[in-house]
Amino acid sequence: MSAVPDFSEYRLEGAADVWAGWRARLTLIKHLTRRHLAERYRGSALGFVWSLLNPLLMMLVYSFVFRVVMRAQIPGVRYEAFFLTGYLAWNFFSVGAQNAASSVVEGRYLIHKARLPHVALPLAAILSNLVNYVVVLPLLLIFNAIFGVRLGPSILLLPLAVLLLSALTVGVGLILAGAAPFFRDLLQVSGVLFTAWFFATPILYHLQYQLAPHVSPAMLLLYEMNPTVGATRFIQAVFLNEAMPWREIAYSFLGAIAFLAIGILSFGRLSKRFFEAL
Amino acid sequence: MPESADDILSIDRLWRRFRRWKERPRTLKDAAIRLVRREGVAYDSFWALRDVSFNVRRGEALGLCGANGSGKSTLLKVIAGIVPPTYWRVVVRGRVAAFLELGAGFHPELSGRENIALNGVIMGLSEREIARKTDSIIEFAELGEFIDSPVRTYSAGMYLRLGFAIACHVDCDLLLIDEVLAVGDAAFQQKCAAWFDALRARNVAVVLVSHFLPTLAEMCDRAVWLDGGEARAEGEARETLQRYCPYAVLPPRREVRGA
Repeated sequence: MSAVPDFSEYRLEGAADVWAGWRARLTLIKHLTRRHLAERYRGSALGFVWSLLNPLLMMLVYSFVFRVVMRAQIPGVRYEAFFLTGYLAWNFFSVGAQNAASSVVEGRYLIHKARLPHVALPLAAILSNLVNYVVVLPLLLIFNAIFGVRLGPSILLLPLAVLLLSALTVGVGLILAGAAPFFRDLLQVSGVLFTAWFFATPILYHLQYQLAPHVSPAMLLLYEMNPTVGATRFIQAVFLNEAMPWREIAYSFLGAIAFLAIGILSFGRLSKRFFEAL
Repeated sequence: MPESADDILSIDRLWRRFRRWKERPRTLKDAAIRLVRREGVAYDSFWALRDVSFNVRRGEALGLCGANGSGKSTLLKVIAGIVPPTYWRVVVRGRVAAFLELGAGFHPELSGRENIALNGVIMGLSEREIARKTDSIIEFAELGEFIDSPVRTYSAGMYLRLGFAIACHVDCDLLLIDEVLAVGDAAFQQKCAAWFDALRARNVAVVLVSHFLPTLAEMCDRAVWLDGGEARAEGEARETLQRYCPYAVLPPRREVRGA
């Protein structure tokens, strides 16, 4: 046996590498995304209505708890509008990240069969949830208008807010997707984690009215470091015409960059071993 | 072995290691328990491929033979780019298409038609190319109305015909085939033979894995005998196959009609 060299290379030369350009990658992501959406809607409007059922039910439950049981209120805005605005954003984030987490395990039949950019699997899972979210936004605007919400110029920042939320989703989604093939209980564990994370994000209570008066400034600062706080507050400020919480948005932006960096690096490293783990 | 631009595939001192886990923490819970008890993760590794080198010229058909577990399928997957090499180098100078195990790459819940689109996309075809080829693939697969049923309802022969039809419609310079053609019926075998002739006429190289040595002798120009991950012998197909199995009765290399 000769000495083993510390070097490895797989090379496709010339125009042979179909994934070298962006076009084939985008086609793949587009195709997978379309399939996710087709599965969800099953080609009917009923599928779309079905996807609204969960947020509306949650809204009813939480507005009962918040207004009737807890006797709490948020000055200037109807609770239903406040909750739904934050919850739809959270839904995109948490379902997107968790779908991304399971996408690699579900796509094992492709990973064993073909050379393809593995990252397309989680990205397509998130993209389909983004489409889902964006399609629902006009309905949210109508709903909020019924509850007396007036839009302000801050609505122009909507693309930026969605971008921040998406970046966060991709970052967290990639971290989970890279680890999921190696730990079979990761999806269950992350489910618990997301529930905890939900309560650590100001969705069913308002940061300014229900949280800030009851905690110390240091505690509040710690709370605001949670990157989902800024992203959610950004969305709420955009839709409900509140003052922009720039400080929290800045924390969230830094958090998104950190998650993205960790996600891209870890997924890139771990994806080389997917074949062994799946 | 000197490389040349005429080689579609150059494998240079290829090593591939796999981990063999003793008690693997399959869950976060196990991993946490191991961490608390300060136990390490126990695994050793084995070499599935050891120092394998050979080249394949454009238009050449190469057969791989060897016992179960000798590394044939791993080698095909490394060539296809599915499994990265652990050490050293694989260079492919053209487009690769792989027709590996039966039903691989098909999503069981999708219909035959949807799987054609998916397979086209993962082979890097554009959507327009796929749309153009779909009808012809369906016709070639001869699945009739089953084409719109989920592929989990397919028989082995139907899986084979669909996979084969897709593989035939990919323009490639190097085709990898792993032991799948044997489940086809007589008419299918004939179709295969005609297809192989067409590939040779188009100067497409083929790497073929089979345990059925007469097929290899008939279809291949050269052969490599893998044994425990190492290339035991390499050379003219019949000679090499005969060394692997001295008692085999091997037919001569098939002449190509009209070539």
